[in-house]
Amino acid sequence: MENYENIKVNFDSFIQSLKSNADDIEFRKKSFNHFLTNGFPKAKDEEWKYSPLTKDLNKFLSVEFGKSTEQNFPEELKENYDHYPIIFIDGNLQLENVQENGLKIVKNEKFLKSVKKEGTNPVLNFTNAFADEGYLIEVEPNTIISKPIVVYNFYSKNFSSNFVSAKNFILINESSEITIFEKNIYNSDQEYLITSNTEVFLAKNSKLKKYNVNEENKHSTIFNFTKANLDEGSELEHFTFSKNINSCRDETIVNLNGKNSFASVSGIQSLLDNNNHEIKLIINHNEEFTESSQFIKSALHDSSTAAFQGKIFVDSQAQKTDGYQLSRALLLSDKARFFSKPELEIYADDVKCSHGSSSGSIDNESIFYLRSRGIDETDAKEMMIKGFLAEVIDKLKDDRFKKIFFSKLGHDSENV
Amino acid sequence: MSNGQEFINNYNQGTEYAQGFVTDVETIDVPKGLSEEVVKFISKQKKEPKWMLEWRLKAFERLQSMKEPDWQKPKYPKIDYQDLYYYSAPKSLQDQPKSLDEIDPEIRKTYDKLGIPLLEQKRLSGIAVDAVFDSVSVATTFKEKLGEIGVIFCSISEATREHPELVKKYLGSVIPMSDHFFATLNSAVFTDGSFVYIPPGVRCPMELSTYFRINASNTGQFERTLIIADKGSYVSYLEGCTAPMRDENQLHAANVELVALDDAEIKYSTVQNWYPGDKDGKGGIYNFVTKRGACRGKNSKISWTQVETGSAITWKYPSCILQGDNSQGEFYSVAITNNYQKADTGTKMIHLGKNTRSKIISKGISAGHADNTYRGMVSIHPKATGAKNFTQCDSLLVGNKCGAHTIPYIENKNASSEIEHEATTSKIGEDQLFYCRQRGLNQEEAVSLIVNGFCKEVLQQLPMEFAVEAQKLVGISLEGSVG
Amino acid sequence: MIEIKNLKASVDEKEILKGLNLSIGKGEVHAIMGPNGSGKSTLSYALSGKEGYNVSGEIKFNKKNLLELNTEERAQEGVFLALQYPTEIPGVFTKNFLRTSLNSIRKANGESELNAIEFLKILKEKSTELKIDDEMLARPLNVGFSGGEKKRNEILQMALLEPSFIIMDETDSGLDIDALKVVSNGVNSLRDPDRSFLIITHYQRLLNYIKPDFVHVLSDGKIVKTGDWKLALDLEKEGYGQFIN
Repeated sequence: MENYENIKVNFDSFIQSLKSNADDIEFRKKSFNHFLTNGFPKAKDEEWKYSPLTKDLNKFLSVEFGKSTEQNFPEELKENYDHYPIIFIDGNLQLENVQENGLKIVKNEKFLKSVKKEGTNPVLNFTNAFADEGYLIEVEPNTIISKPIVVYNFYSKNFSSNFVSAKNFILINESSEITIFEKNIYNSDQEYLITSNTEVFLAKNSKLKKYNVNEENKHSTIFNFTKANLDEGSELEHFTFSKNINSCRDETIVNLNGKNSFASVSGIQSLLDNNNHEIKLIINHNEEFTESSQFIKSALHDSSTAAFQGKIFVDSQAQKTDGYQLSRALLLSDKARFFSKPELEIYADDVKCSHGSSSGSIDNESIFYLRSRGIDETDAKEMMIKGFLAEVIDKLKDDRFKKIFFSKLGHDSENV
Repeated sequence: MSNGQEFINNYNQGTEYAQGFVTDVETIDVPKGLSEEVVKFISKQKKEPKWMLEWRLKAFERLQSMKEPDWQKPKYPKIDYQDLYYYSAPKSLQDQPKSLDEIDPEIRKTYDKLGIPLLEQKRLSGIAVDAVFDSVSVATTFKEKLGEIGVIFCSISEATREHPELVKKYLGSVIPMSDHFFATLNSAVFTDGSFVYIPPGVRCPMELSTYFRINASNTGQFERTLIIADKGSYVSYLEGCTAPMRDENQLHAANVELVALDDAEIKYSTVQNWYPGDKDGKGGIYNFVTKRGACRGKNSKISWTQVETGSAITWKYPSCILQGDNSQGEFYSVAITNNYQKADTGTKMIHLGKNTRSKIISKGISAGHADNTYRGMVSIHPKATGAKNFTQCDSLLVGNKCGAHTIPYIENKNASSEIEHEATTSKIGEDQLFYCRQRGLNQEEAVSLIVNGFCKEVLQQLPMEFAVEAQKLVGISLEGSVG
Repeated sequence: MIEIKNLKASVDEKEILKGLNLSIGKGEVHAIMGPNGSGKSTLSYALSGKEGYNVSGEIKFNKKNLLELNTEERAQEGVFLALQYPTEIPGVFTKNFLRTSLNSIRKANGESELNAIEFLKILKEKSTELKIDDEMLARPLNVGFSGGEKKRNEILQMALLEPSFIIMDETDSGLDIDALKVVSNGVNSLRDPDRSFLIITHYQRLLNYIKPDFVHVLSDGKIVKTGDWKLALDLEKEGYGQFIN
């Protein structure tokens, strides 16, 4: 059993420093005590069977929030198109004034108080105990926000402590639409524990496109938790681009609560060195005529490991649902590993659900074809890997971000 | 459907659990409960050599520190292992009848009724049968004939006495004695089951089969089967099982070990029709079975085919350890659950050798309030260069009070390997039903015809003699599920 | 132009080509016909350098021994294999593939690589000639293409890469009459005094449209008969029986 004495001390002094109401403090204490009952997850816990976090979390038996000395976000790191920025510098939120009717971006105080139930997920409980910053995005009914919101999570060189935790809240009201792009920029090579809990509510007929980029972090341990609740006729497109990330678990739960709601959750991972990345995904079809799609691809170089645990759950109420899930991995080195647990749990008979999972090496026939057209082996492989990952991007609905992700991959469909 | 017509002709013969009768025989029972004395008693009854008793006692000792697993989906009330009988045998079998004609007529009649005649003149042609009644083997047919070509086919009890060198070498070599709770329990108290040895280069000329019958009440059955296919040999083995209708749940905890050496092939088929409980979920067998095969030699092959229609709870994963280079494992399964039946079944394919291949075809059908889980693992180890797996898991739901759950674990640790997994869930199409009915089939006939079609890939794997039987079972098991 | 001597090829220790000799001159069109299993596809793979074949003998091509070159080096030398079933590669866009391929070959031959504008101009020219619309080129390589579209894409590649030796491996299989015309028109328009063809086929049909200078019969890994295009007509009438055993 790990020694959590230091974390207890950390928590006590954190609570002391909080200027919060009694309810909030109580919830944090409950969450923390819940966390303490079993501590960080172990590899033998079924829910964490293939998780890299079981190994890496134990590096953080003492956590410290940083009061970073960094105040400025380098202007050149901003995206070069018109957008509304939300900037976290070393975990501290900086908001700019937003002037658009129907759009509210504020510090998330509502959600900090809104969550009252502690869960069974130890890392989520840990996050709920500590998280002190976060954004709240709310779109009023019948509002289409055409400019995307870009969330920058920036880690500067002047950040000396080891822990960042955020709780975010996204509420899209009836018949509204928005696109949110969230990216992590690591300017420091330190070992951090970064956790987040994002709650999403999509009201009737609303649409959210949420795109995430997480790349180039050689040392940190990351846990992202997202829960989305979808009302009737709403649509969620959730996509995560991961590249060269040391240790990460992306956990997403989608509840399709309203008829004709639709969720697409997809992602690509390009992993190097000892990268270890896990995607856990649960889609709950709680109502009839709901539809979901999961599409994950991994390209595994060097000694990297990817794990995919995806589940489609169909309630006995949820007739006429359609659930689809596909996970595919390319093992590009002798030391690369892929674990997958694609799960279906179905309690209604009039449904169409399927999943597929495959892993293996690059197809030799395809390599031969490319080489027979004069392309050398290295380039042919590179082309195949990019093409393999590009398939997921190609299915995204937003043309602007499609292009952005293609060029991130060095694979541009337009510019030949 | 080539056998469709035949199936329909046979269809109306049995409308409930036809094997649910009780045979009235005088029995020898051990006192209730699990203890060292009981282990010794069983060993003594079996006239086992000393090393066998010591092995059992070691297992019993290890059991004391083990916990019953609880990760399975179907939950059941805690079993009181001290409230069970571990041995029950008809008194008439105590002195081991010298010829088949000496068998107690009551028991003979039982097997006649089950369609497994044991007498010479009525025997099934081409099939040798080992008949196990509660804790003892009643008879093994065609033993002498098989002996002429060196094939050993007898009860495991007999094998511990007659072929100790083989039993010592292989027993527990695939399922280690303390593998898990039920395997260890079985190792301590196993009663009977079959032993098969096929010598090098021999292609066993007939189907070997064991028919398991639970008769006594409150008694657990602890089958132990060991099959060894020596270099270049081939054997096809089939087991069937039934039990009387009783209100209490009964435990059948078997261990089955298969060993295939170089170039050998074992085909193991199961038609499991233990009493499933009544339509309200009362009674029925707990079928908690450990089945594992080792493809120890190069180019060896083990193929599991199972048709699981019975039992209140079926919990088993017939698996293959693919050690030899180029060895192959196959798993074909149909699991049907109706009413309150529950199944948690699947397979493990562990790829250790180079160019090993595995194939998994699983069809789960769930009706009534039943719950059907496929759980499986495909694991490709770092040295299994060129390994390949293909898995197809399909589930069919009839009604919205039942459940289907697919839980595959896929582990790939070799870049030159290929793993493909596919799974679907569907229902019986209205248009399919309409089409059949328009051609004159009634609703239930149509359903079983369609379900048989759904299972065809698996049913085809069964030896011909049993395929028809299995198709019939598929239909009967789903009776009353479509209104 | 190309000189094949005593070519032997085996897969998994099974010998399929058993000492094949063939000489093709500049600008000539040769057809190789043979029954199933005679080694036709193996010949095309041995010429284009597919891995997994154990090949011995000699293939002289423009004074180089092709057996010493790997797949892409042969392509860069000007060897082009049109496949029976062109491979589908999801995610790799056709246009991008074509430019990469063309530039690889240009680079190997000491020519400058084409920028996007230059490339698109050439592509437009060639694709218009072959009546290939832009939409097809924006799709992933061969994915979701009909049989005819795949073959047309192969012809487009020939036109674009301008190889000097084209091997067509049963390109006619599975084509309806319209697609067959597209293929043969494409090939005929590429006929050139500096370009040679080796057409491998089971049926004489394609040879009605592309008239070969020589026809060879391949049986059991060897060429057993050589003639002019009339030999193809004979074969169509009489079958391969006369050449087997």
